[in-house]
Amino acid sequence: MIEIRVEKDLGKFSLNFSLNLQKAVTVLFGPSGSGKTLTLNTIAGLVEPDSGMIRVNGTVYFDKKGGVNLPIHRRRVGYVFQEPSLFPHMTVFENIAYGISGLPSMEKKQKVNRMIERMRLGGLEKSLPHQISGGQKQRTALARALAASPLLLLLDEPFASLDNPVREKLRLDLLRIGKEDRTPLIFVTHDVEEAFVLAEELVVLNEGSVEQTGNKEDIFYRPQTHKVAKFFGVKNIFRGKIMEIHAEEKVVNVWVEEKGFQVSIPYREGAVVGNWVRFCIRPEEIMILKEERPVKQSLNGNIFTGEIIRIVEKGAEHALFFKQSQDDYDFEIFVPNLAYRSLRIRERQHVRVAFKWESIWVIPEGK
Amino acid sequence: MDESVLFSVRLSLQVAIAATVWVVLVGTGMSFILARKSFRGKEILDILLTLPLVLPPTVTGYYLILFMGRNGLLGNALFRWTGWSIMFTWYAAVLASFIVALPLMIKTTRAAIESVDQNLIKVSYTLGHGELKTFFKVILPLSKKGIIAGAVLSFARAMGEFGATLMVAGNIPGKTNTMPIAIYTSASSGDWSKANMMVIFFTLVSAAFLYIANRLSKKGF
Repeated sequence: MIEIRVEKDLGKFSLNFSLNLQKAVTVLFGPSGSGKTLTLNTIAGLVEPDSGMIRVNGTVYFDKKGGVNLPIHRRRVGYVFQEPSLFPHMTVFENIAYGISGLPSMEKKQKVNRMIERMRLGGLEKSLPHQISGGQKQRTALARALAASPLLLLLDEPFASLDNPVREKLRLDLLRIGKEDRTPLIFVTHDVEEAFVLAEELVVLNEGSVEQTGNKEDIFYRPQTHKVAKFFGVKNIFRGKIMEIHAEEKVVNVWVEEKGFQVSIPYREGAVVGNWVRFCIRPEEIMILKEERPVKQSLNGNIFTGEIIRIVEKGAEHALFFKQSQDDYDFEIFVPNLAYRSLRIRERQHVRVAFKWESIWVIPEGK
Repeated sequence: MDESVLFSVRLSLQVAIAATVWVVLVGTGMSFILARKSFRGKEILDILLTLPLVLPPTVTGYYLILFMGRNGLLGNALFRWTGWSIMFTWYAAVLASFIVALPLMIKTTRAAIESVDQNLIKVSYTLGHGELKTFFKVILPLSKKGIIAGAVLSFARAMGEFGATLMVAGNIPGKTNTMPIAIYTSASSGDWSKANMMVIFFTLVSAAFLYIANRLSKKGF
């Protein structure tokens, strides 16, 4: 559907990647300065790549070798920025009508009215942009982009400056409209939650290149690089040396030198005793064992005794910092508030924590 | 009112209106190019267009004679082709006023065009409108205030043009003696009542224009 292969050198920063997007909703995720906006700008035609090719649904937007560089206004790309950027001298109605061309005025009017209804803007037709709220402005901007029947909709952190309830509503509006219209969209964000609500396909950018692409479960539970694991809040990432391999049980025992503990992790093809591996475990996958309970066999020996050195409230959950042996904490553990209350844990308390070896993800080497 | 005073008033208004029409058309186009395009020699063009603002009007007038005079670069070609010369006609007064007022128009309009939010222009492009349509539908309406303020200032400046006009249009009674020139003539020949009349008229009109320009730049219209 969307094929992008671009190179752009800006001196201190360079963009260099290729992507082949097939899903209706793609989320470009990455920290600030990773090249997300620049990527959208090359697709829209606001920035010309040094080399490469951009093709959307069979239409070639840019092809360095073929000498194609379609001007912006002929690409039919809808673009919504973080700022609504409504034309201040036009009413809501006129803003939405602005991009509709080639229709008789009656049909044009109907199209605008339909869009106003779908984006819940009824009653604001004659308002000027400075008379409406931030959420209404951004809905108008979305309606304006969609009314022009774009081949592709680009959204650059469009909800970042809105408050949470408004933002959540707008995300749902966007998903609904996107489905109804079958307009493919590329959504840029650095908000993990937003990425998860929206993405059918997730692209993680870092320093101008693609770290990983895939569906959200893949990226959440099976990060291919250390960076991706970090961006998506894995928290517990370790490097250790393989001590023993139990191929028939698909388990490998690893010694984590820096922390001073041994752990069992899933066996991966090619594991060799003495090699180093990087692995991680999400903070919500670590259990705190109650004293009286017998230990289940399935925990496979990944049980650690130590102390909770710090507790941080994080809204819907608590973050517990567990220390087994040395100075710093070893694991960060997320416990939902309900479970936290029933556990009755305090700082400085001694506990046992455990995790299943299946919960551990081995980050492929060399990345 | 004295017949000759009336003539000067009418001529001055006629010259200023004609010059302002040209100033607005050419000035807006030039401002757009200077504000939004980058090309070689842009700075030189900018300096050339601004020079009449700082040069003594006699120097500007002198250049106009060099270019447009019967033996001038353009004037000579025009004369050989049509047998007509612009010198010492009211058109020359329009030309002088135009050249002198143009920088005022460009300064205000360029600033207004540059202050239009870049994102609005990008949005217009992505919504399928090219450069020309974007100019008329977005840039022009949003810099309207600056353009009108520039036009008012230019009009006032064109009405008051003296030095360059005197050099290229002369001081021919009943033909090219605009108000500022007629005031000079009356004062130097001791015709104080005539001079007083025109000076008061001129002061009132100019003050009215400044008032309009101020109001426009404050709250629009």
